[in-house]
Amino acid sequence: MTNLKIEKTATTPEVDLRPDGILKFSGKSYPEDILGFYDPIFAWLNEYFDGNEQKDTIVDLNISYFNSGSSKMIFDILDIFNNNTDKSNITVNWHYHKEDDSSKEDGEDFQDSFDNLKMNLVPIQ
Amino acid sequence: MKQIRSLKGIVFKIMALTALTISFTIIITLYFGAKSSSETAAYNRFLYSNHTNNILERTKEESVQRKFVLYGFSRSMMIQILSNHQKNAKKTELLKNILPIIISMEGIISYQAFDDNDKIIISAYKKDGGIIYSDNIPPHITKNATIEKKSYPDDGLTIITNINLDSFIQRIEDGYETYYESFDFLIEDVENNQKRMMQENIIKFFLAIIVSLYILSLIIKKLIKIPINKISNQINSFFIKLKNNETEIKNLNLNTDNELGLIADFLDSHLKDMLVSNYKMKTETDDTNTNIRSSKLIQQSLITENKIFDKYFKNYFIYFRSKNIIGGDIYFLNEINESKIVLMCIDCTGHNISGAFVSMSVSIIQNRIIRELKTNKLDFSPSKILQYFNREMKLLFDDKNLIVGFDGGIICFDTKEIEITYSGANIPLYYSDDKKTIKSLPFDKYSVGYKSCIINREYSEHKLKTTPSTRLFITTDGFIDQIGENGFRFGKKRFIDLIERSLDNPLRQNIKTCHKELMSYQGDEIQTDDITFIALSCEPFGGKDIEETDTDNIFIAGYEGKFSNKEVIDLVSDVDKKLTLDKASMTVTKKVITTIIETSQNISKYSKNTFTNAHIPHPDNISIKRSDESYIITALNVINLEDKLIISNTLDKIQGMDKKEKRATFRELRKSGQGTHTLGAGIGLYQIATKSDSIDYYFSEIKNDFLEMDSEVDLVLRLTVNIK
Repeated sequence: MTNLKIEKTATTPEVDLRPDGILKFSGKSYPEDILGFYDPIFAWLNEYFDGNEQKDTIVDLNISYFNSGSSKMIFDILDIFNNNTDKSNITVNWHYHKEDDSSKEDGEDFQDSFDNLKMNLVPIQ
Repeated sequence: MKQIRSLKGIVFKIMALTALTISFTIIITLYFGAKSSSETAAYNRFLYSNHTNNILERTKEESVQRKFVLYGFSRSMMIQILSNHQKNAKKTELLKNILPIIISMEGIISYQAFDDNDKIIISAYKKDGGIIYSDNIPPHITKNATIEKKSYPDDGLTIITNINLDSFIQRIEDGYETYYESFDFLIEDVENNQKRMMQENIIKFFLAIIVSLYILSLIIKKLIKIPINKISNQINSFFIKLKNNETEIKNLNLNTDNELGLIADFLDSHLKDMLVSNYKMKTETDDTNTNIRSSKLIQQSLITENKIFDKYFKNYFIYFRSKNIIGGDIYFLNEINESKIVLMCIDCTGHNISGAFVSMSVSIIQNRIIRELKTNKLDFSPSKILQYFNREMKLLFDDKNLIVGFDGGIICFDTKEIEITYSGANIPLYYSDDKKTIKSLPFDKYSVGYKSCIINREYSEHKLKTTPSTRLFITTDGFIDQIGENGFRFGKKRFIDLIERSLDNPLRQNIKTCHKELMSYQGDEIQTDDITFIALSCEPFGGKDIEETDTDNIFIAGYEGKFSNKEVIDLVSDVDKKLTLDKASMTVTKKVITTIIETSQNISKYSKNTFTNAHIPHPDNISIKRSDESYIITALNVINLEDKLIISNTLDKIQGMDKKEKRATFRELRKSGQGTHTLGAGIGLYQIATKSDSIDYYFSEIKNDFLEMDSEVDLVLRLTVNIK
């Protein structure tokens, strides 16, 4: 199991997924080819939960802008975490700018969708 | 004029040269052959005289003669040979055969030879009267032969009376066998030599021909083949450059003064000019086309916009299809007052540019007419309107010796009286009655504005009470006169049948039926004339006023044109900067940008705008403006009817929801197809809805230009999002 590291572009976030359980997403997400971007991430996550018995998994999500397609992808990523709570102690941190109510609402919407998942809304100063 | 050396001359020269070479070879061959021995020369002479050449066909005698001739013309030799070969033959006969040859060589003009018991008597006369033989017979003959002769000095005649060869023959028999054998061998040798030389000569002869032909081919190659290749390459490259719109071409510079040189010179002096003028022409054509397209926009701006029709008619269509980019058909719909509107449908003289010019003049007069109608200076009467047009057109063009005018129909709508008044100049007005049959109002078979028209001509007018189900159809003759592949016009009967068949359908649908039917009738024929076909349903007038004023709003950012990923990124980054400058709050910025991303990506993915057609009222665009209390994002793009149904459905649902419901629906949609990474329909619109305070939308029909008829493009969606 290796790292999955994707540099950020104008339309895609920086992705840093490490087998030791530190998973980070930060930036904007409105790629032209959504599945082309997210498929490797899904593949990595599935492999991570298939073989890895990592005790703790910490997910940091800091996505400033995302389109509806990306919103769906984030939902599907969170869904994977939601389905693997038995394999690892998963914590998801949704980072938002403290003045950005809209982003906070997005986080709340995700929170509402996954009852099992430990998800924190973390305001950035 | 440059002197040219004709190629024909050159070819002749080459042929002559070849012939000369061949002849030369023959002569050389013959000369050397002859020189090789005097015998051969004699032989040749003999050969080319009156004797059979074919060895096989030679008689024995001939063979002897040849040998004789070959080996000297000494009489002694002759006699030796004769003796040798004719021991058993009659000497006289032999001599008779041989003598002519000797005699012809010695200038003897007549002779006699006879046999007299082993004695040969020869008498001969020489031209000069001299005698021969007696003195000329070599001593070794005379020594061995008994020769008797008689002389007749008076007659210049010597008669050899007796040559007795007996002793000579005896001598040969006695001791000359060896000599004669070797002599025979020599003869064979020379004959073989002759054959060999003949063969050599034949080989040389053909070699000479081959060399000549090779030289000839070289000359032809240099003179003809290479220049022709160059010329053909030059012509090829010319056509390529012509296609690529290039202007530079290298000169051939053949410098040959024959016909090919003349062609090359012609190409050198003209190809470049042709390329340059082609380039100019293309550029000018491009300019002209651009200009004509601009003209189209100008003309289109004079034609009444669909939204004005929208205001007065719920159910209508306008099938407007110029033969060329611009044309001579034009139509106007104007409100005179609350209860009076007037529709003019006009087919000006000609089409294309000239038609467009006439339509411009008509448009100016029309403007004046509307003003006069509004100020009551002109009666609200279609007849009076035509009369006005007629007079004004005549005043404009009558003294110009031009054929300018129009056919047209004027419908005056009176919404109070629920009736229309119609005047037609060569154009009928069809209408459907309650029984769903098509009828027409009478019209004048009289045009407007032509020199031949009477200036105060009064046109007839006809009233018609309308009901909500009344439909009116007016068309310029382009539709009915369209020539089909069968060579006949579409015709009035077919036209009436077409509109009658579709009376039960909304008019909007009919336009496609009409277009398809006309196109299939037209087939591969070109469009005959400009077409304007307007259909109106007389449902109660009074639509919504769609005029908008947003001049108070401040423009923040925007983009117009084709949307691809790059434009979306640039726009997002631009809006981000502008909003920062505008000191928008974090939340508002977030909402606006999310909306921009969503709408611009929708346009880039789903717009049906092909950008190939200037007739689409607006290219796709997004603008962000700021009003006093909110940001207004307006997105405009081309969609089709199918999209319209989906979008209006979703947006209508959204309009009925509060914020909580919008968020819930968005979450639901996002959840649907959980784990499959597929996107639910309309999720983007919900995304926008959750970020905005209000969404407004409006579909406007794209002007019914024929280019859109076959495409799926029908509407422009105008989406306005407010974010506080």
